[in-house]
Amino acid sequence: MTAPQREQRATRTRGAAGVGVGRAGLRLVLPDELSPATRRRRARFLLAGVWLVSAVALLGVVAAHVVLAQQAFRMDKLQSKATSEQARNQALRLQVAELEAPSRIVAEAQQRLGMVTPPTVAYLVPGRSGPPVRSQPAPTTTTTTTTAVGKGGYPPRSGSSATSSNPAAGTSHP
Amino acid sequence: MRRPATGRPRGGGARGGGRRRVGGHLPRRRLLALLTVLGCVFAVLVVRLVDVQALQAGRYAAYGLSERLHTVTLAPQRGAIVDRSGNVLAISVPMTTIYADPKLVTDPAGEARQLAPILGVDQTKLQGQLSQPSQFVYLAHTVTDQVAGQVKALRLPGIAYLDEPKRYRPDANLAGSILGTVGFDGHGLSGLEYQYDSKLAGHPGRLLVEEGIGGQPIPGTPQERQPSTPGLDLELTIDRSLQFEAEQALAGEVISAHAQGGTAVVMDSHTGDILALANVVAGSGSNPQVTPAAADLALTQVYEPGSVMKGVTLSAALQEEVVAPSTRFTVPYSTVLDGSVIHDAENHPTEYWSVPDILAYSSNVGTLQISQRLGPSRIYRYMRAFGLGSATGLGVPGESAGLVPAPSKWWGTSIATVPIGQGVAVTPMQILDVYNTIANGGVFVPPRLVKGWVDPSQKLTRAATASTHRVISSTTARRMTAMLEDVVKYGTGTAGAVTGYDVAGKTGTSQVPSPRGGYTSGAYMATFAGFLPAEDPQITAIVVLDRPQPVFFGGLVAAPVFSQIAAYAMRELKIPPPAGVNLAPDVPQVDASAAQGGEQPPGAAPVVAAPTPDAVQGTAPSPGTTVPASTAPGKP
Repeated sequence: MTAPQREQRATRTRGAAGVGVGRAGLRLVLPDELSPATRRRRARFLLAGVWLVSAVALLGVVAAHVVLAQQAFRMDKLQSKATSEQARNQALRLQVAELEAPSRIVAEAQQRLGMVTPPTVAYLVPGRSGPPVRSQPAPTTTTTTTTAVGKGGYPPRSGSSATSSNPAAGTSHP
Repeated sequence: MRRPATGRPRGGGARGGGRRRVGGHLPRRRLLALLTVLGCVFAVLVVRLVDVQALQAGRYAAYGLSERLHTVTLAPQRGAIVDRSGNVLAISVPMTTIYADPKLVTDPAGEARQLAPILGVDQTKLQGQLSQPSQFVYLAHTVTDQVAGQVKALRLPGIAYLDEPKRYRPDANLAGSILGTVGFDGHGLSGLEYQYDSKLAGHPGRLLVEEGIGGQPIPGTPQERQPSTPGLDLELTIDRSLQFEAEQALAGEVISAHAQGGTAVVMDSHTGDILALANVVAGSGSNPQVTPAAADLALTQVYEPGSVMKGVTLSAALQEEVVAPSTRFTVPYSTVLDGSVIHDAENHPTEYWSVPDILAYSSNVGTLQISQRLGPSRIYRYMRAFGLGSATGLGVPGESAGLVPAPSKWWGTSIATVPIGQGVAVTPMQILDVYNTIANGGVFVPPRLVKGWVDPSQKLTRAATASTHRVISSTTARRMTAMLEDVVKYGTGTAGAVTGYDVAGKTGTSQVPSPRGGYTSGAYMATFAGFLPAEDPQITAIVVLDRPQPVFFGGLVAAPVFSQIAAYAMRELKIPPPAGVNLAPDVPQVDASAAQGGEQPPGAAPVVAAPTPDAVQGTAPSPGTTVPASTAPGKP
């Protein structure tokens, strides 16, 4: 109800006694009625509260989005890390196989370490009498230094196999 | 509307005086008109807004999405090919391919200057590529992550990247003839890479992502990631070390025998697992190197096998009991059949030979007499039962089933030629299977190259095993084994002996057919097929040399390679020399004194009984003596 309306209502209810009251701009205050100032203050508080809650809510939304974005970036990073680790794994598998390649092992053993294949291998078989049986001289798989393996071909065999007839150091065999 | 108090009471309703010129109905009408116009404009806007925002929202949102949404294909990880112990023979490594969109390149010269040293390409060429009037040009294929990282750090406009894996072989030559090659699209083009491509290749994945202008993904937007399915690893039955040794031994002989190429196959006698499969071709012209053959010749190349076919003929004869091991024949050097002369490889006086003698000295005339007792239909039946004329089931692309003529197609002389391996076409693998059947106690076991498939969790799924069938009885197999031992002890195959072990084997030397009919003079295929240890066969192997010259006998050029490979196989597989046991006492010993026949070159010293095999039969050589490696004359 607006003030003029209240004015008119007070005038009507009060009758003759209120005639002068209404015209003078005064009215009777109800017991639990709040003053306009209080009302205005309360309204302002309410509005401030609404603003505050909205602000907090909006900030919360922003924070949520920030966290979401951060996690999305992190997930992206982890995905690419997983992929690159898988690639590294494959590369390492290849490296292991390259190091173990028979042609490389033979070349390293012969050239760098000066190893030769043993002339004979002796087998000691438990329960069998007589001297150990000697096997065929193991074949000399040769890689000569000049014609390198891996240039697209097999190197030529370097002459006869191991000539030493040294019967020492046979490998025992279970 | 307020009006200044003029004294005139307004009271009930203003009846409005007459028109006023200032602030009267005229401005009010214009106002109304203006309001109406504005209202209409706003109405149109509202309608349009409702249309865009509510009615056709989906369509416009879709337009925007189509601009942002990118589908990225995730290349699948191709499975590796590994040997029976898991050692890698071929593997794919993910790499980056760098390309450019010249339309987005702002400074071709500057970018080329920066990129050239990193990529290692000519700067002017690169500049030309970056200035091309196209939207796509490859700059560098499959570069390492290091190089790609350096290029990415430059952040040059117009330069983009895509994943392209590269297939590597740790050892360039190892198993080269069976592995095959992989094309740019990641699919196999030949060999095993082609044959098993569907399981090796895997399935590509898909990544649907919203990207901004710079290509970076927009966080918070839905990302649909369908990961790629990696291919399975193919585990072969091949043994890496034995494969290497077989290739080296074969290559060495191809060079020293001046052959055009060769094949060597090693098989596990009981399971049919192929432990080594080597195919090589000699270098030509400017490149003298022996290289892996481009195709799997052991299965794709047919040839007339020659005397190794006698293994089939005599097995059939023993099994059908048309001869006994002790049956003797009067064998002259030559005989006439249907107007043609059939003769043995070397001139000899008429001999009274047992069946083992005929096999040990590889007598064609003796074999003819045995074949005549068998007859064409039984010979044909046993050839087919041993697997000749049929594909092996390995499914190798280009595999040949060979050609074995049915009896209805035989000539008058076929009874002499077919049983000694001329006039039939076989692959080396088929001959190997014949001798493996004998080694396996008479049971044919199909050859196997694939052990199984390994998934990313390292679980092995074994390949299905094919069914076996019996071709000859175990007694016949034992008798044949004893006779084949004699071939190596006293006959044409002494160079195939392995010290400390009893080897059973057969030589073959056959002419190469000429395309114009008949045979090409001076062109021979040299074969040796055998197995060891004879008492309990573990390994069967065959060696074929393509047109060795000038020495071309199987016993001289192929048998030593067999010996070398077999000796290595015994060490690699840790098979000790077994105690000597006479498997078939009913098989008479070969008449070593008549050892001048068979496939020996003229003028060679007669082969005498070697002291070596006694070592495993109880009488050991005195301590300190060195057992000689080989007793074959003329070959170191």
